[in-house]
Amino acid sequence: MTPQNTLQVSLRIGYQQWSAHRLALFMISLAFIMLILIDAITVSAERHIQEAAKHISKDQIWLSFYGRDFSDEHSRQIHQSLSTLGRVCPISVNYDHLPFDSSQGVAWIYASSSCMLTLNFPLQNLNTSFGYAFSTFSPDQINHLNLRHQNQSYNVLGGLEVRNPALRNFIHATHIIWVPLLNTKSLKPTHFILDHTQASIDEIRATLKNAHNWEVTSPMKIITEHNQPNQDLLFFFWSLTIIAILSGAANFTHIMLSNIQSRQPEIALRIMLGAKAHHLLLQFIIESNLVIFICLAWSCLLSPIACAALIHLTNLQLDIMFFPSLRMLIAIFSIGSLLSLYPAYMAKSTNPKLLFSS
Amino acid sequence: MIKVNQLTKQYPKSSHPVFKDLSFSLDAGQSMALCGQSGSGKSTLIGLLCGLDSATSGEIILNNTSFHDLSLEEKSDFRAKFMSLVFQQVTLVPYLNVIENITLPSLYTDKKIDESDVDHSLKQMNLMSVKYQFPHELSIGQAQRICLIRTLITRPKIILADEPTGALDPPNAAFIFQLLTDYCKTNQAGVIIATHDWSLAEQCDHQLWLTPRDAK
Repeated sequence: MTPQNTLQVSLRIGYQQWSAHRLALFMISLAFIMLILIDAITVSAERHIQEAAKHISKDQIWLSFYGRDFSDEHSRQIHQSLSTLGRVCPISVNYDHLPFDSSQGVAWIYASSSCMLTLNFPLQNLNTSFGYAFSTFSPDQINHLNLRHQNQSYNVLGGLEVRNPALRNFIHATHIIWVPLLNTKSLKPTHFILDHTQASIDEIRATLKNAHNWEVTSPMKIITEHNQPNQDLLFFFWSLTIIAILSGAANFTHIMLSNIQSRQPEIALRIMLGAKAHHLLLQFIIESNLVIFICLAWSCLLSPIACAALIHLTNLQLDIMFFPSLRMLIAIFSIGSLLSLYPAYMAKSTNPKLLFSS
Repeated sequence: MIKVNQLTKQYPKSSHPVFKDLSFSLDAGQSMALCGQSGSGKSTLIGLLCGLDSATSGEIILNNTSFHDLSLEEKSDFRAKFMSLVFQQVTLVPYLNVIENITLPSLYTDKKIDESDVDHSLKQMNLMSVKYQFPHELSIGQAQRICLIRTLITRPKIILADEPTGALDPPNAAFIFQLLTDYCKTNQAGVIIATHDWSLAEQCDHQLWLTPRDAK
């Protein structure tokens, strides 16, 4: 018996086990499909967040105070509060000049839209000779804007809320001045970008909350909140998966135990031929893992269908996964090995005297 | 080769020993038939000789090694190295084909089994056509002969057979018996065969008749 023979034989046994207990083992495949779906949701969300985070500066905070008037006094107070903590963008209610300096304003627009593109918002791609910036203003209010930054012209698109309501949720404010304006005094600046270190964000948040009841948030927090529906879905899937895993584990252990019971003469023969405890333990652990491998192969075949169905039903931003991740594979085979230990121990305890005629 | 001194075996809940003060010896190249009715202790004696059971008293010396002094692990090693067993029931692994069944011992011992040796044995027993078949495709006689090939292919020094012909028709039984006794002669091995069949037992060099203790 060569190692190739051994593997071939083990595969044969695994296939026989699968054929004999197809229905029970399919439950395990279902559990694996759900694990792959969980993996797909988690990995997709992580990837989207990572991609989105590339486009934002981690030391930024966004300041919002929804729809309230913003006076010169407010501006001065904020400036004073924040300037003690680091460099602050110009903040102004005097619309004769920009509330942001132009370069940062445009950079922020670019970053935000890139970030949103990464999160699969249906925006136009910015990699064109003519860039796009976004505004909540109605289209007839923006005709006079001619935005340029680093030799790049930006076409300002108005009516953002009409174009895509999802953007409004994402930017977390009802009225936002996306594009610095001249001579538009009827509008109120309600959103500011601040360059600052992460360590000071809590201090800024506390300061502004106590003094003015203003909300301070960070781009990362907003992106994470964007991921909240995924968390609810994950909770649902984990609940189902735990039930499937528990019933699958019970089925699996029962199948392996009855398998060992029915193969006692064979085990006794192996002992008589010189098999030691570790040979039998290894054999049954390999066999159990091969059964799990077959269940996993089925779930890998079916999981793209499940992913596609989930995308269709929930409109989720999901990468279709064909295989579980390495960490999931390690978890699956560790559980399989653990579950096979008791049946393997039972095999090791077989008394070879049962081969004798009386 | 095989020496048994004053061997007694009594099960804890039994009032009579299975046998008491049993002594015999068997030299290399000799065969012995263990005869007796059911319950006379033939399988018990085989179990003691292969180290699966321990005697109440007495001594077993196999190949100059006292079994009494060996641990379970050492007995297992000794068994794998020097001994082979044949059973009444067909002991083929159902999901291994004939060649895989025959070479199975090489998985657990350092004994190398050449495929040419296997082919030679299969040809000798007219079983070459079933080389890649599975046990369920074989007749009982064929399966038992495959078991015998697996037993002999590792060239054991001691063969213990527990009613190997019990489930076979007379021609097959005679053939198996003949093979075992021939092997014993040509390889200078010690062979002990438990059997009900006195006519077959007479083919062996020695016969040991065991009587149930409660029948005495």
